[in-house]
Amino acid sequence: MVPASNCSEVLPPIVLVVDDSPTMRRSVQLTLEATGYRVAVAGDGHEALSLLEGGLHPDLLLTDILMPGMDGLTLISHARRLLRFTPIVALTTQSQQHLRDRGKALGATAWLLKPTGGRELVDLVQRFVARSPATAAAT
Amino acid sequence: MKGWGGPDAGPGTGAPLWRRVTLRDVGVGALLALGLILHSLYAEHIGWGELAALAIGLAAGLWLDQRRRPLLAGDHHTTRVVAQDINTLRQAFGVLQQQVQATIRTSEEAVMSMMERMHRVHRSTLDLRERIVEAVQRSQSLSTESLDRAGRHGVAISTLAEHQARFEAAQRENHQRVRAVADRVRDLEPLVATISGISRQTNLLAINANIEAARAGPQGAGFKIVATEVRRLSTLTADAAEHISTGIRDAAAAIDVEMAAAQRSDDEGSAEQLGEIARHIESMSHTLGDVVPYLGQLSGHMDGGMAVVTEDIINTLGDMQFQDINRQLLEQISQALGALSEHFAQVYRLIDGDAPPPPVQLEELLARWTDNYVMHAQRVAHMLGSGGTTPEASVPVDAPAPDSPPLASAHGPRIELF
Repeated sequence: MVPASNCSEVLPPIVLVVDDSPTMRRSVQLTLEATGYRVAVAGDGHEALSLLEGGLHPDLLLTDILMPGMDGLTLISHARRLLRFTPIVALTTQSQQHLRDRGKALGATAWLLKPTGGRELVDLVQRFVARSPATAAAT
Repeated sequence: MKGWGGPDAGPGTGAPLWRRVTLRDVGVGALLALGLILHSLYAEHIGWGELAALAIGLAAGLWLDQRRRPLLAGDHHTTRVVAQDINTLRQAFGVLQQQVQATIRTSEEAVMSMMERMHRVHRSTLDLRERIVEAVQRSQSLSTESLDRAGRHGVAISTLAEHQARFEAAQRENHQRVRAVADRVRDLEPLVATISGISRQTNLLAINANIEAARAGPQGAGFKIVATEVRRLSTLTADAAEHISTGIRDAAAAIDVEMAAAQRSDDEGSAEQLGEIARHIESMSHTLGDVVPYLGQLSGHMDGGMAVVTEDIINTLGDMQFQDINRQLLEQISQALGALSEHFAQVYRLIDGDAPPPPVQLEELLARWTDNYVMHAQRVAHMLGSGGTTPEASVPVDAPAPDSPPLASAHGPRIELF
């Protein structure tokens, strides 16, 4: 796990990836790390919330919705209280409009349907995160 | 709810009465009719008591038969076959369920392995890139150093060439001065002729003095001595003149030989050789100068290639998300197979007469599967599999979201920014 940093001005942005699927977690983690981001991972909402309450302050929270234990919508509602201005993006197979509306009401920033990966995901993450890894490396 | 109609209503309760009359019913009716006929003919032998006992016996037999006989009454063989097939169907569903779960595990392990391989490839290429960049930097440093050295060598050679040119000019002046000295030495040769002439005149004068001394007799003895000395002096003068002439010629010839040798050395042109060296060094500098942009170009190409490789890798990693989608699809299939298995197990127990009918019919069970669908693709597949139309054709995109998700709704944009 990537430790929380007190000098985030000089380190690359950190993305918290929450998904119960190990392949999904690893896929997103390797993709973002290959483009310069730091990545923390969690297997469900409880684990993610523990990281946030433990001091992790990610630049972006990327979460699945359908998960055992604490699901993504519940995590969004809890995380939004801890991360007031941090983008929270759902990356899920759940396409129902009422779930999108629920996520939006709870504070989600965007709703992405799987599969969304590779360059498309990197470009979207770069759009959500104010500073890019290259900017952090330059500073 | 579309159920079985409760325990009092068996299957087929809506069929016409004649369709529900079985051979057993006809047999029971015939026995009762035969009892009544016999009672009417032989009332003294077969009374109402015997007739009632027959009726009670038939009713008891029917009741016991009803408890023992399966619902698919009539053909016991067909009932056994159907029951056995349905029982086997449960095993088949169990096998399918295990296979699906094995597929989930296998695909997950394979994809994880592929991702790790890709990750290693990426790390290797990054390491390679760092090595190349380091090599380029070292080459550039070497090239710069070589250029600096070549420049300094060029300056040194130029200075040497300049010094050599000045040396050669001084040497040419020296040659001219030596040649002038040789010329002056040759100019002394006429003086030798003069000395030789004086010697001859002196010799003639000595001869004449001897003649006059002989003519004078004894008084001329002293004069004869003088004449003899004069003659000896003339001879010495002639010898000296000859030696001087020989020396002048030898000195002039030696100077000419040395001058010719020096001229040949000058012609070989040491300054020209130095100039050639300078040109070689300058050529080497140009070669080294070409290496620097070449290495820079090489580095640029490597960076471009690495960017392409990285792009391919991250896109391949994105493609790996198919496994998560397949996992959810297979999990849904697995749950459906489990429900089917349980349903038919209950049907089997119903046929065997040991259990009530399942709580819902298969059609209702099929409809309930849609409650667990999360992907638009699942709903499309369900509609197509059940003979319906595609969701886009049946449900308007902007339909309001109901309390429970519709069977096939529009799946909305793939990327939605709130």
